[in-house]
Amino acid sequence: MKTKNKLLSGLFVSNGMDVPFFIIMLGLMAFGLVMLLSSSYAYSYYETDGESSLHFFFREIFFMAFGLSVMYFFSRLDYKKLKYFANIALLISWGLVLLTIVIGKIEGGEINRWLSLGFFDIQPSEIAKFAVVLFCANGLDKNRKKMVSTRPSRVSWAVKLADITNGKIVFTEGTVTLFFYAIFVGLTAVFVLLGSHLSGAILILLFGVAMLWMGEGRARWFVIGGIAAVIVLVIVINFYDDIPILKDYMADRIGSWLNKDLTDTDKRWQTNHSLFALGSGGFFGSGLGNSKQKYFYVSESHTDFIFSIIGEELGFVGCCLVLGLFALLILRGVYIGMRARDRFGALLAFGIMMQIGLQVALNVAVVTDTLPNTGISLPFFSYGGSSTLVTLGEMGFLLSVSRQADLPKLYSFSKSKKQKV
Amino acid sequence: MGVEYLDSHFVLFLVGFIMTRVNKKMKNRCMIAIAILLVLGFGVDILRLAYFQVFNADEYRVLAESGQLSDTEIPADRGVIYDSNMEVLAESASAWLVYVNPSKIKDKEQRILISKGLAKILDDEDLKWKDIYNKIGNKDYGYVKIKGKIEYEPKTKIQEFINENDLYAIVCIDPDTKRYYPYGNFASTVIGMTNVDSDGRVGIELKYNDVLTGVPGRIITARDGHSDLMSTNYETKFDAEQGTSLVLSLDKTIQHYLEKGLSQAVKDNDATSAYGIVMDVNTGAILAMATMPDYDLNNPSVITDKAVLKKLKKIKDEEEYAQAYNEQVYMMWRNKVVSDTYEPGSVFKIFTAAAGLEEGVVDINSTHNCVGAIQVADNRIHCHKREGHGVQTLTEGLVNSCNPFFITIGQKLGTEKFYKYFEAFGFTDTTKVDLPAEANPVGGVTYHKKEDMGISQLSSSAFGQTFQVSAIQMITAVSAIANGGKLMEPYVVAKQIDQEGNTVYEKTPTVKRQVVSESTANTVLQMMEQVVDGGTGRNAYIPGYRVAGKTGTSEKLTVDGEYIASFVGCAPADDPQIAVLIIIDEPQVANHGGGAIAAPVAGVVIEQTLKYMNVEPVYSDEELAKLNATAPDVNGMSVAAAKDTLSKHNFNARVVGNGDKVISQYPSKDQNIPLDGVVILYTETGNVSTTSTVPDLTGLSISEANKRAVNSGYNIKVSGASLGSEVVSYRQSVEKGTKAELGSTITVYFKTTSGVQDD
Repeated sequence: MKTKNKLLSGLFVSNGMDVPFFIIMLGLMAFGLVMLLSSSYAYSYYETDGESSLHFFFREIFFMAFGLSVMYFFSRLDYKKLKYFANIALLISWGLVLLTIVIGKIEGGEINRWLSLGFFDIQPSEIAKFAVVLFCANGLDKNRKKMVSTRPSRVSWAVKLADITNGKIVFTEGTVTLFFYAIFVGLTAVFVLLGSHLSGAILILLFGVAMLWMGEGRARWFVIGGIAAVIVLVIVINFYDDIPILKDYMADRIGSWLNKDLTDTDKRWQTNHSLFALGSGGFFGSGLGNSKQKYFYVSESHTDFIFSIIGEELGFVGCCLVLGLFALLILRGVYIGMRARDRFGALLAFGIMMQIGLQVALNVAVVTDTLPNTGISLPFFSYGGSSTLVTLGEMGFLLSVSRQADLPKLYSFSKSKKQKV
Repeated sequence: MGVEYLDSHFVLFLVGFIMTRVNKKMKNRCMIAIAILLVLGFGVDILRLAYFQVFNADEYRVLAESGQLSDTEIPADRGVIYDSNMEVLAESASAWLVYVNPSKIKDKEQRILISKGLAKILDDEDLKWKDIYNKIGNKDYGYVKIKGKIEYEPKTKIQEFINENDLYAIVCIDPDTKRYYPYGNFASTVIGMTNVDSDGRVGIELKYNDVLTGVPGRIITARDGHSDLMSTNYETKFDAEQGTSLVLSLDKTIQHYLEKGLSQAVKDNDATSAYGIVMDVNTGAILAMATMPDYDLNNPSVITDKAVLKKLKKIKDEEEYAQAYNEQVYMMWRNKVVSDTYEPGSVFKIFTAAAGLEEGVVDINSTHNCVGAIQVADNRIHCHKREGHGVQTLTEGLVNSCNPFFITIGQKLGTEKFYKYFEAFGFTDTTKVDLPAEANPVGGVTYHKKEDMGISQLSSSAFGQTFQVSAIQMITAVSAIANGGKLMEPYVVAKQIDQEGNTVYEKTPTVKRQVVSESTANTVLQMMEQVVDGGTGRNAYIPGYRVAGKTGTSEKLTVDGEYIASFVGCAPADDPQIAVLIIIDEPQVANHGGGAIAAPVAGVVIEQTLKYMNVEPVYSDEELAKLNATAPDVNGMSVAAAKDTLSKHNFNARVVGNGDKVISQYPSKDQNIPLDGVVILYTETGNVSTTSTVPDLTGLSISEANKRAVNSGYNIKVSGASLGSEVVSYRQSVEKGTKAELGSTITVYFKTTSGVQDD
């Protein structure tokens, strides 16, 4: 293979990938499939007019199978080659997000996060998430020197600002670079928000900031940013009704999150029934398959709110198990990143794992009414083609990083196996 | 291959060191970021999960179950209400209720289909299809009741409607119960009825609601978020338990007599109402109780009284009309026997007499000279007979209903003793009868308090004026006179029986107290018998039965110029079984006295009741002479011989046809026929039954009525007061102008108009 085509062989890596990470991921996938079957069959039966209880289950199996092959393909790719696509990927994702908005406006629909490809609907915001990770990983790796530079910036506006303030406010090169990437992250978030995907925007902001942090931006800006975020949060919580950027439904959700009315069967229906499901599960759960709340009480029980059904059937123990598995996956993923052969790989792995981790944390926060109800899916568990494919694709890149990382041999598939043959 | 592998790894290893790898700062920052994620993200999540799943799980589980579990009530049948002979007066039967699950309605078209379909089947004024359409609009609801208490026929129609239009789980039918009153108006103010929720609203249904109400059964099922049954086999069923049944002391037959008498009294006297009660004097059991006009228990909100409807019609304003209508409905439901108070008037004199005899301030031979008036403090109180009754004994005083006589008795007793008996006869307290809304006597309002009872109040009270009592108080007190002085606790419910027919409660007659001695009571009773035999109560006289009674007439305290006429009677006087009280409210006839209008009603009720109770009549000679005889057999005789035979027996003959021989007679042999009656002799075949027009037989004396009847070819049966010459017929059983077979018997009711005035 190596000799057949030099160009192609340059794209691929043949080292072993990280087995512990792979196994944890497979465990989560298997767990996810079982819970998806349990949480979706009632809804499936209803949606298909009694034809099939397995409609969503089979589709997800298909997505996972397809995703796994994508993952394997990506894992064999040399991730460093992704650098070439980093900037263009972000632009494409913006284009797709904006296209969705435009189509949505034309069709006059309220919320449109989906782009129909005829046979398959994609969610551009999912692609945007990965594009941000890729863009930041590439840029922050390439411009590391600028990021850590303490020299005054020579960018025209920074120079002008220094002149006007008589040198009192001087932005360093690092700060300007940080701002540059922050603006890109922010813009992406705004586009996604315009596409009516508040949770996606928040997610992008959060792991974007995490990546900038990893890119060694100056700590003080993160402290300032954190304080600003808290102020914004306080304002939003108190004046959500009067903020023009927030659409009516967003304000509604914040309002119903704040009132905590357990008897509300309208705006808090989903959240309340999610909490009822968790309570019904108790410590040990009602047993796999025994959820009653999945019978049309918890809406979206097979997608964004699948965790509440896990909570009902497997109890607190099961919830902790799921969160524990995710924690293991994240720790292993980040460990791989820290042992990657280059900064790009490290940033890529960190970004991907941060994205997954934040998504899990926010999903459970929504299910437990800790945060307002927004549509965040639970990776490996929630039903959905886009999210499954993007997640598994990202896993592929992470495994690709692992192939070239400095990891103990014991844990990697290696050619030594092949040698035995 | 092995070398190649090693090579590549070695190269990688080197390259790793050459290229910018992860530095210390990045590693630190990575650890901080992950720590924040795990602590703030995952940690908070786990705390929240613990909050809901460990520490407050029960609260949320209950909330979940309250949504999932659907508790369907199986209505329990109410207990049956029987009369004393186990005739069903009220019972619950299976019915159904229909509801709609709006969340399952597919589209507007289906919504219209359901609305129109149900409206057509239910055929309810208040449930037009638009009403149903609006009811079932909210898709968030899984259960909207359309109508309950649906009977079998519409229920099957709805079932067909569901089948035809494939509306399963959209239109549904649940069990329900419905209360039926087989006799409609019968005893309506006593029995009462239930509301939409099957709770007693008035009457016994209200008073015994808890007893009659059964324990509803339940079906607990799990339902999903769309209100459909969950696929899990999760259903628990508890059967419904029927409520306890009641056996009343009320007797359907006696009740019927009373109701008939009262409704006739309302009609005859153009009265606003008439009410009455028949009581077993020895037990306090109420044998009959009625208020007229009454209402149909199966349609309790429909006013049928024409006078009331006429009054209502004048109200033009819709809202005002509705309010007035409602008020009238409530008025119609009122059991006046228990809830209303009235001025007893002269009837009360029997208690003054009893108190006087018991205390020894008078005896049976005491006399009083009535000069037509008596001075009490600053007032001169007149006797109803302005010229005075002259010297009379106590009995004569009662017979004449002489006011001054009883004023003197009251004054002789004094406030202390008079009040003692007033209280002892139960006029200051409720009777505790087991019926709702009993009028509560209030000292200073409905009667004079002891401390307020001066000579004027004492004097007026002594002959039954200036205070009010309820009919149930009055009949209970009269019963005490009739039963030898025992004040009984009146009751309507004699027995309670469970679903299997076991008696779970039986009322034992309760003696509240001995009010007067047996001899005093008997003396008063004898005096009362004189009232009926020759006094103001003679219209209650019944041949063959000894009746004791007292009349009363009083001007209403509350309404100017209106009167209330009453009569209370006990029979048989030598061994009283029953007491009857008849009250006629606001009669619009000139002669509005109790003796003139209430006593005849009581007489008929007492006669019918005693006969029904198989009390053997004992006739005096005078009565016997007027008794009916039987027709001799003249069939086959020649017309002349037949006429001869009949006249020998003091009968008249009327020949129909031109034949020589009697081929048929009516009344036929051994049939009852009054003396001086007529026998129709048919002499031609094919003409053996002829009808004629009934003449007007009212306003006549007995002999006049008989003569007129016989001349028209009819016989009469004398009913009511028949002693003395001044009796006048006031009603006939077959209306004048109607057709009736020649020779048939028409009952003619007589009463006397003179000597019955008592106020």
